[in-house]
Parts: sequence; C-alpha cells; structure tokens
Amino acid sequence: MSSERRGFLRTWVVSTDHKVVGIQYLVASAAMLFFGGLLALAIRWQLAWPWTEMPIVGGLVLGESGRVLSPAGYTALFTMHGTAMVFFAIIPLLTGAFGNYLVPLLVGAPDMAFPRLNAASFWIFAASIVLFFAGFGVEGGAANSGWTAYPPLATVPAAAPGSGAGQTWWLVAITVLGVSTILNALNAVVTIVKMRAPGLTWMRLPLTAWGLLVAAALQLSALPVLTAAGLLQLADRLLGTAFYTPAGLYVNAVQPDVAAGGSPLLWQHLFWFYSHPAVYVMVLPAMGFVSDILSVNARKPVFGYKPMVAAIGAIAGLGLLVWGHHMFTSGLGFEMGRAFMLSTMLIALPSAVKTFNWIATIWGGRIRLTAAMCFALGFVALFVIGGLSGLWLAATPVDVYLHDTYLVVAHFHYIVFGGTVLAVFAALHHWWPKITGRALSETLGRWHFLGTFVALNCVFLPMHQLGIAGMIRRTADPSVYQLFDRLEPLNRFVTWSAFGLMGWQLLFVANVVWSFLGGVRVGRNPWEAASLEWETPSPPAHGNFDSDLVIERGPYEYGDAAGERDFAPQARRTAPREA
Amino acid sequence: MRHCALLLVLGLLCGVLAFFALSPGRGWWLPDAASTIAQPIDALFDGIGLVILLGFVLVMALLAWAVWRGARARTDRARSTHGHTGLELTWTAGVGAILVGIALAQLPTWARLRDPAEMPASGVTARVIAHQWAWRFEHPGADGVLGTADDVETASELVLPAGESVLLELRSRDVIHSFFVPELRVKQDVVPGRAIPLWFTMARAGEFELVCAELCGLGHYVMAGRVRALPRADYDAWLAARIIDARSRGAEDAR
Amino acid sequence: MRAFPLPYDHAVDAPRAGHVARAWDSGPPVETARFGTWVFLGSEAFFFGGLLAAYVVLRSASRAWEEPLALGLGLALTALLVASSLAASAAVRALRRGERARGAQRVLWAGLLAGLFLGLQAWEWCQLLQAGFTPQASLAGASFYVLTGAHGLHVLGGALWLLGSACALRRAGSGSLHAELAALYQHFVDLVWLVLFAILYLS
Repeated sequence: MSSERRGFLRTWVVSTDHKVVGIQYLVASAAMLFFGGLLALAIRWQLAWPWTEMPIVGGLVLGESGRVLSPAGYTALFTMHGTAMVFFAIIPLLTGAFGNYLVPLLVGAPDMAFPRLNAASFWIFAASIVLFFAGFGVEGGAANSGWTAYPPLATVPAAAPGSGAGQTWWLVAITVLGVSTILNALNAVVTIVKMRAPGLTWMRLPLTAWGLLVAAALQLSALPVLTAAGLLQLADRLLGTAFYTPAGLYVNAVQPDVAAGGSPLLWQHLFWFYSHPAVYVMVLPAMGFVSDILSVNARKPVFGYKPMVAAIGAIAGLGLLVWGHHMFTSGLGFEMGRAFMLSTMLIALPSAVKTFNWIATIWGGRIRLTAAMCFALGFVALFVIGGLSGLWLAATPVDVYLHDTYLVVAHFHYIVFGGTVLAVFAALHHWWPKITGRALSETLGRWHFLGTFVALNCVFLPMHQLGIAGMIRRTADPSVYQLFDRLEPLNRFVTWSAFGLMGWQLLFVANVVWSFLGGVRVGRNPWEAASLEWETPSPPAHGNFDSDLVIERGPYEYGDAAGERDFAPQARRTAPREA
Repeated sequence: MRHCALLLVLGLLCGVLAFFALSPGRGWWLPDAASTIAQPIDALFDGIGLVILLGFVLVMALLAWAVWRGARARTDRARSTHGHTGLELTWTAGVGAILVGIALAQLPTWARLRDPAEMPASGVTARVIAHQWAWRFEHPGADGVLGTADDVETASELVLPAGESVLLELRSRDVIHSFFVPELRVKQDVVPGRAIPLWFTMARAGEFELVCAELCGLGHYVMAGRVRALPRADYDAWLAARIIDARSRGAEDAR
Repeated sequence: MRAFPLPYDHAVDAPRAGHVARAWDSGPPVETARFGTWVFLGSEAFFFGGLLAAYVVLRSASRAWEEPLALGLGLALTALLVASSLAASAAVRALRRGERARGAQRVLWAGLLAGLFLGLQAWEWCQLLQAGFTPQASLAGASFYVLTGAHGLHVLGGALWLLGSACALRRAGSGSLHAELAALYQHFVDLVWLVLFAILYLS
C-alpha cells in the first residue's frame, strides 16, 4: 500500500496514520505558538512604551483601527497569550505532535491503539482552535480575565467587557479542547500499556515513552476536573446559576442581576487541580526527550534509569497534591498553606534528582554537540534556573511578597520556554530526519540555538529583578506606581530582547526550508541511536516497522559494553514482513 | 566547538551573576522594608537566594565541565555506567535535607503572617473596601468600633499608627482584588463575600504605595492607593480632626 | 572548532512495499478495547469526582440547603437504572454463551430501561421547575440540575450505545464486543447514579 500513490486528501487530511496525525498536530500547534508569540510581542510593546502606537505587530494583532492598545485590548492580549500558549501550543506540541508521532514507534507498534479515535482527537482540536479564534470576534472582544479566568471577574458580564460573550466562547473552546486531549491521552496510555512489542518490558521503555505515558495519565485524571469546573462556570453564565458568584456584589455600583451564594475560591481550587499538573504535562515529556537526546549524543547510558522513572512517577503523583501553592495569598488559611508548602517542597526533590542524573549521564561521555544536543543541554541549564527560583515561591512567607509579581512570570517562562520549548527544538532536530527523511542543517541549528539561548535569557532573566522589585504581573502600565518607575530601562531591555528572540526564530524557518530543499537524505538511524524508532525506514510508511522485532535489551546501551559498535540496538530485526 | 560552548556557559554565568550583583544598586531589588515582618521575610529571601546561587553555580559548573571534557576529540568509548546507588542516595539525601531545612525555616514566619493565634486581640484598626478600581477605608472613631457614627472614611489613603500592630479587615464589593504594599511585604487577596483579616506592624512612619495585585478588570493597573503611617500622637490628632470634620458635616447636613 | 563527523547513515533504503499492518482495519483487538474502556471510565470517575467535590464544598459552606426531592421517585429512578444494568449484564452472559438473539434482546431492554430512566427524570425536572426549584433560585437547585444533567447526558450516551449495539447484534456477525463495552459503561453510569441518589435523595 505504501507503493500506492494516495491523493493529498487521503494522505494528509483524513489519514488515521499516527504519524500524519502527529504532523497535523505539529503544524497546528506550531502555528498557535507563533500566534502566541505575536501576542507576547504586543504585550511587551505595551510594557516598554505604554499607550503608544505599535508598529507592524499592531497592525497584525489589533488591526488597522486600533494600533494603540486599550486597557480592554491589553487584558485580552495576555489572557489569550496564556491560553494559546498553555492549552493550544505547548501541550499539543508535546502530547499531540510528538506524543502521536513517537509513541507507537517507541513501543514497536504499527499504530496507536485506536487510530480513528486518534484522527478524531486532532479534528476536535482543530475545532477548538476555531472556537478559540471565534472569541475574538464577538461583542466585547475576547475573554479578558486572564487565562486563569477567576470568578467573579470572569462570570459577571458587567465586571469586564470580555466577560460577556468572549468568556463563553473561551469556556466552550477549552471544554472542547479538553475532550480532544482526553481522547488523545487515552490512546497514548492504551498504546503504551497494551501494544508494546514482544520483549519490551516496562524497564526497557525509553524515558520519552515514560514521560508521555505519565503525562497522559495526568491528563486523564486531572483534566476532567477542569472540564467539570468549566461546566459549572458555563452554567453560571448560561443558566444563571451561582456556583462561583458570592452574595452581595455591587458591580459598577449596581447589584448585578445574577443569582448569588457561591464560592469564588472553589473555581481556583478546581482550576489549579488541573492547571498545576498541566505544568508537569508540559515538562515530563520534555524531560523524556532530553534524557534520550543526552544519552544518544553522549554515547553513554542514561544514568540511574530506574530513579529517573521513579522521579517521573513521583512528580506526577505529588503534582496532584500541590495545586494550593497558587493560592497562598487567596485566603486559603494557615494550615492549608502549610500543607501545600510541604508538598511543594517535596516535589522539588525528584526534579533535582533528575537534574543530577542528567549531568551524570553526560559525565565522562563522548559528547557530540549536535544541534539537538545543544538544545538539550540548554534545557537542563534553564530548567535548573526555573526550578531554583521556584524555591522562593514555595516558601510561603516569601511567596506572599512575590506572588503575582514578575518573578512568577520569570519562573514559569524559564520552565515552559527555557525548558519545554528548547526541548521541543531539541526533539525537532533529533527526530526531524525520522519524520521527513532529511536532516536539518547542523550549522544553522547551532546558530539558531545560540541566538535563542542568549535572547531568551535576556528576555526572562530581568523579569526576576522586576518581580523582586515588586512589579505586578498583568499590569498594563507599570509607570502608574512610583515604585516601578526605576524599572523602565529593564522593561525596555526585555522588550528589545523579545523582538530579537522572535526575529531569531527565522533561522529555524530557514533551516526547515533548507532541509526540504536540499537537506541530506538519511537512512534509518542517522544518530546511531539504540531505541526502536530507528529500526524503521526514514520516514516510516503507514504501519511503521517493515520487519518483526525481538526486543533484547533496554534503550540506552551505549559505550564500551555495547558490543562491536558503541551502541547496541534495542531490537533484533527478524524476518521481513510479508506483503 | 567546545571552546564556543565553554565561552557561552562562562559568559552566561558571569553575565547572570554580574547582573544580579548590580541590580540592588540600581534599585532593581527589594524595596526598603517598612514593617517588622519584613525582616524575617527578607532574611528568608536572602537565605533561599544563597541556596539558589550555590545550586546555580554548582550545576552550571558541573554541566560546563562535563561538556568541556566530553566534547574532546576521542576515539575510545565511554564507560557504560548505568548508575551508582551510593552517589544517587547521597545527592537525594543532600537535596532533601536542604529542602526540609527551607521548609522548617519558614514555618515561624508563616505563622506570624497567617496563624489566627497571632492575630492582634486589640480589635480592627481599619476596614479596607476594594472595588473596581479604587480603595476605600473606614477607620473606627474614638470608640474604636466600626459601624458607629464617628467612623472616619477615606478614599485612596489608609492612615495607620506606626510602631504598633494593626489589624485590617479586607472586603471587596465586586471582584477579587489583592491588597499589596511592597514596602510592608504584605499581600492578601480581597475576596468578595468574605471579610479577611490581615495584620502587621509598621516599623517606621512614612507613605507607602498600595498596589492591587490581582487582576480585577480594565482598571487593574490604575488601582493604586496609599498607606500613611503616623506616629501614635499624630495618628490620634489626625483621627480627632477627621471626627470633628465628620460631625460638623453631619451637623450641617442636619440643618 | 572541531566539527565531529556526523554519523548520518547514508544507506537510504526505501520501505518495503506493502508492509502496512492490516490488523487495524477490523478494529483493535478485544483486550485493547476493553482496557481502553476501563481507562476511559477511570477518567470519567475524575469528572464526576470534580463535580461531587464542588457539591460537597458548596453544601458544607451553605447554611440553608433545601432539596425538595421525592424519595419515592428517586427509588423508582434507581430501580430503572439498576434494572438496565442487570439486563446489560444478563445480555453479556448470554452473548458469552453464544446466544446472540437472546443477548440482542436483553441489550435492547437495557437500552430501553435507560431511556425510560431519562423520561422519568425529565418528568421529575418539569415537576421541580414548576414547583419553583430552579437552578437560579438556590445553589441546591443549581447543583441538582448540573449533577443530574451531567449524569443524564452520560445515561443518554449509554442508552444510544446499547441500542446501537443491539442493532449491530441483529444485523451482522460483530457487535458483541460493543455490547460488552456498552454494558460496562452502563454499570459505571449506574454506580455514579447510586452515589448521586445517596447524596441528593437520602441526605
């Protein structure tokens, strides 16, 4: 069938091949990443030069009519930036794009367990993107109560313009996206549990597969709670219930015509019950990619495989118990604050263990500084910074000061951008030859890494100082406060760096184009890697493996004990499959 | 190649450290403290900051050394090490001990900030009412009780006695706001439907900016206020003047 | 600057033609489908867990909480759903013995009983709404309609699944896997109802 030429539609649009679904996810979520980046630039423009005309980006994001941001526009901007990045870009990049593409290949399966369901989950995702954008066009504009959508700001239409129709569209988009994500996670879990090739025991699973498995399990358990919370908020908006609306509100000096008696903090609990684990969904697969890429390029086994697996499990398990640390200043109460502080301190431990294991993995290795390796090393360095600044935030009295300041923004951007996005670039460079059959340029890739690494530190490092100096997040104009006046040069520097960071990404686009036009064609295993996906042709045809496999060992047999070469493939290929 | 990598890492290290070292001098650091609770909070911040600094330098140094050594041109193979139980236990225990230490070190300060047992028994000093997008304050008059005729209301400016513990009652009329005074190191969300207590002691007289730290709609960024700390005598005088003002206004209204 | 030799494997080989695994055209193996359903139900349990947690929090924080629900009606609803569940498991037993016609009949019954449950619940809703117990009037009302509504949508899904597999059983050679999974789902929905019944009607 692979020799058969199928039309564009059947190959790229309605295909149920997990690789095609993965590529569809990759394209869609990369587009969302770019869109979220544009919004970020507009946010930065406003913070550096408040209420001035925005060149270029202003026209793109705001349209010709409103090049100068309004407060409503600004609040909608950061709401949609956060939503686009977390829900529509980063998570789908990991569990959608790489999850779909890699899971069957890593476990030696011909496809996902439920291929049609898999294709359906992408198309539901696409529908949710449409709903997301539809919110921009409604009366009052897009949702503008933050990606956290705290009631009553989000639920009382009189409280903010975006809390009218915009917030309803936002909720519907998030709920539909949630359905897609749950179906996709279901597929990943069933595929990894049930469809591993003969001999692929749990302790022979690559860490990428472990990361994707545990991330999917987290989604299956925590995301439905957000869906339930979203339904309650939808009911508040559409049915006139009062789950989140307390009694006795006066909005704009009038009592809003809504029912009352509910609890605003209930939403925060339910929201963070998923949205904190969502951070681990965004980082566990990335940790998996990095573990694999470090090992391949250091020509050494992953150090402490079993503790690495245990750490992934511990992060996920504890991840369900730390949501309250987003609420230390919310009126959570003394004992609850103490309990969540302790669980938050605990969760730092497995992350630290993983960091030391990564260093020990490359320690004494024969390092090949490929572009993928550069990005993976960059991940480790920046993940460490993000993790360490978390110590300040985990300490409740310090968090009381730092909560909702730019230090929090710096902290999670180091994890999500410095960590996850660099890991995604690492993974792209590493698996690109498998996906397309052609290599990316190593030279361009390393230059891309260098500029990205420097620029992103210039963007996010000064945010620590902004936060320490007290500058609050989500402010449209820091110059309102005398305290923040002296921060102006920092804000401008951050903005310039952000433009540089965005511009530098053109190098990656150029690399992709170069690869398609003239990239080196590669065989099955361009990196001399041991895991299963490299047993397939590049790119693999529908059905993946063209011979039967017998899995003989773990995925990280590199170095002097590996046999005749410096790596020993996980699988022995037996008789080729019959047509 | 590996020279570039080393230069990059060293450059980053020096840049980061220099940037952090220069920041306090430029005012890009904690604002001057003005409450008694600020002292232990700043000490925790500095202590954890030291842990962060050491952790950062240690990890970056190890990383840089590993890459520097590992990227040399060599044809022999690496040792196929799969782990080292003793080493792993050591660093797990080490990191664990540091984390437990940090957790224990902050408990007393957290209790001072939020443990109801620490709440001053003297009664409410002022009520804070947040609404889109301004602050309103109610000071009890001579009787020390809120909700009586001699209450003193102010807009935007909260006046409090310096040097003694004050107890605020935070209320919101519409959405969630957050009462944040950077120089006092206090922050507490103001949740509609609830009266949330907040207490602290101002170490010195002065004027401090009050910031709304929780997104509360379009005017979130302009929801500024002021906290003015007065020595006790001045505070009493201010209050008395305001009470007389309020009475005479009341008398005028009655006429 | 030393550029290490990139270990590109230049033995570019075309994939052998026609190796596409055909196993997927007839759906996933039974064991995989069964496991997938269990995983899905686990996720569903978290969904209802979230709703129930919200209910418990709101109820414990409220002073007045009145649910003017008729216990008799609740018992009738419970009986219908339990009967549906029993019929579904009888159907699965019959199908395991190879009695397709009887199995199909019982699956049909299970689906119809679930439908009856929905009908009775709709009637209950109408009665309650007319009596002034609306979602807007009180948190108790809001919680009641959202909980039973979310559950009712699941019952609807289960009923459609059961009826669909009854049709499949009558027509072709397949369908017994569908019937088994639909029965499993129906048991889950039944279990959730028992919890809802306990907290809404009994307390």
